[in-house]
Amino acid sequence: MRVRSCFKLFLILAMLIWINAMMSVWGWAQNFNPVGNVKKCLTCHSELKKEFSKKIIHKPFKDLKCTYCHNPHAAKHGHLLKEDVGILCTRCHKNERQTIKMRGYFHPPFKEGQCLKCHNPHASSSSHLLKAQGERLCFACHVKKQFTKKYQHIPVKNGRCLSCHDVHRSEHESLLKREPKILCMSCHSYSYARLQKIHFGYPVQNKDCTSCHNPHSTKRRHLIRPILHKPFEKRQCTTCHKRPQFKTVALKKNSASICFQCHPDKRKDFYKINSHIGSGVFCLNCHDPHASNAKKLEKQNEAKNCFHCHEDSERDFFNKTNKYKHPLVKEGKCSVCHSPHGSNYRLFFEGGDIKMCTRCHKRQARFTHPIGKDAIDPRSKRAISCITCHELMGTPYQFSLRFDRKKDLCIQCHKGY
Amino acid sequence: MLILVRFSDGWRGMVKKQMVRKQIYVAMFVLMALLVLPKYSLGWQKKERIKYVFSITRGKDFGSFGLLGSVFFSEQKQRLYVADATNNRILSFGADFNFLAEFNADGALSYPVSIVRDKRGRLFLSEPSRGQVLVVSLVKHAISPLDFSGIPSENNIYPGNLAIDVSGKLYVVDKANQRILIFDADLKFKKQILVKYGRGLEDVKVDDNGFVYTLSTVDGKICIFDKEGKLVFSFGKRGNGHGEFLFPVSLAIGPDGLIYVLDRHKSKVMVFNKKGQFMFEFSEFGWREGRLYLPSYLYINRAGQIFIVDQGNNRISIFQE
Repeated sequence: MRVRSCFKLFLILAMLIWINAMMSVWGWAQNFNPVGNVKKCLTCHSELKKEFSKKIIHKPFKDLKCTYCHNPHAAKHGHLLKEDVGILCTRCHKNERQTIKMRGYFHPPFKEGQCLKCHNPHASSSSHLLKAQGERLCFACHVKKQFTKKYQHIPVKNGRCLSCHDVHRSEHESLLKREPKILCMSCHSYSYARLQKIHFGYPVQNKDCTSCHNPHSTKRRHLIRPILHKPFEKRQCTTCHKRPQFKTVALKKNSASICFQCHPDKRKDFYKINSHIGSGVFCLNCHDPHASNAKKLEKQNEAKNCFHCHEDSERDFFNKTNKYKHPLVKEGKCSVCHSPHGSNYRLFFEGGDIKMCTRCHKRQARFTHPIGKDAIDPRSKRAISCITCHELMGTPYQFSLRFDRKKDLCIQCHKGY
Repeated sequence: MLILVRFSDGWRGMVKKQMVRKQIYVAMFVLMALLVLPKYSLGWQKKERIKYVFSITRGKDFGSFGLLGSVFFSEQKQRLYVADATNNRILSFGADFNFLAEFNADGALSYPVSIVRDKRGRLFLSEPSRGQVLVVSLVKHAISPLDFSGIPSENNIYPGNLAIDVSGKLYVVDKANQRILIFDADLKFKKQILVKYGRGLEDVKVDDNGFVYTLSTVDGKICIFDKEGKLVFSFGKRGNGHGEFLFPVSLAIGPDGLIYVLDRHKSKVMVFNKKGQFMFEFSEFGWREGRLYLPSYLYINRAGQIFIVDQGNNRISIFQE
């Protein structure tokens, strides 16, 4: 009995000691003030001292909690950051962490976690720690020339990009705050009757204004896009449309024959083995019938036009691991190699694989690894061509090779080396 | 809990209770396995059962393939017909895949992309370059285009893939109007099926019960229509996930009623049941035999042989259940 009491007493004492020890540790952790240590950072990084004079200061920096983001000894990331910038920022900025998981359209730097393209991590004179105020920030990446043509949209002129665009993510293309037609009408609140009158009697109230009007700037009055479809330029609406009716903008025919009546040579382009033919006025899948920024009246720039249906090509295009791409792929010029209407060659090429490449790569036409019908790939038993070894859409290997040329490429076929 | 048991029953009681508990856990695990596993094991077993058999690549008799269109296996003749589009010819192979004959209609063919054969021995070839379907009667040595006149069309008909059912009805994909044209055995136009979710309408197949299956690449949808042409069910989604399509280009119905979908960019055949539930997939990207590189067409015969036109590797790969 006595032994048991002693044992109980010992247990209680041990527990008390343990609790006391834990509380001490907790207290030390609570009272731990890194400022004393971190102040040492500023002794060397004295250039940061002037950051404290700025209007907006990042909270951890203000509190001198440098170790929130930086490792004072060693790190895998630049500037001794503890993690990649995107991950590091979203550790505290939880709303952004949620936003990036959502579906929709994203500002590429936000999606790629390049927060520092727009934000200063320590302090800034602009709100939200932005590197610059208003349009000056946007023009750091977006070519200013496109926004400063003769006729400018008022918000653009005043540098208020955020009147129409969201910064990180949007439900609508081009990061628009709302659906284009609703967004436009929120300022341009014309009556339907007036809108109809302006547009030669056609009821355009439910149409997307940006299909004809450039929302930024153009050289044409009323912000009309620069390249015009001939009938539109001549105001010959009835070439394609029925006469204006009360509620609809009706076409004379709901088929591509409406286009082929003026462009008859294009019809045969579609009647090939591989074809981008579709139903209705399928030309409008890619082309704008009124006005466009592009020479051939494409709706968007070439690559964007293609990615509209070729979603997986878009993913490959933006895949960071495929860093070696053909220069034309990088520029988004799909139609130099692929025929956009139709083709009798594989992958919508405009000619045979080899012919296509040697149009530009003339030296390789004369001197190269054996290619052509007499050089047979032992794996597939088909003739070797340029794309046997190269994947032009992008690979992790130099020269857009399918495998590393220092080890894996050659031994695909040349076994035993 | 354990402490309470220990003080009430002592160590023996605790051990007993622990053993009972263990037995309950084991029983629950077995029960769950029995409930859950069959669903997955079916797919797994089937996947294991599908084996690569053979490839038709090039031969001394017929040279190498051009850009291949589709294939068709005649159950009646036990022959495989291949549309060699850019060489403007049709090739036939025996059931053992030996080359039998080449047919080019004395140069009258122009990029034939799809072929089917009916029980009367007529071949049907679709030629999108001319916007026509040719009817070739080998018995009568006659070739004539299928009559499209009188078919209401917004755009000129662009005939794509063909299919034929047990009663001899011919089904033609009309890409330019997002519909399936149906002709009876006497080649009279009977009706059309307007395909909802038909952007990039690419392929059509018919099962033994007369259900029509269509595949639309851009929409990434498989639609199932009944005999009357009424949409019964549709499924499929484009995406990078499990059971989603990157770029589906062809479909076929297996003898077991499963729906096989060929994904060109995944280089895989994905298999679904009639409820649209993903079951399993097979093959992978590559150049060696049994692998696929830019495949374009899928056909399954009654014996369960799976024929895949592999445009990138310029061959026909044959798999078997």
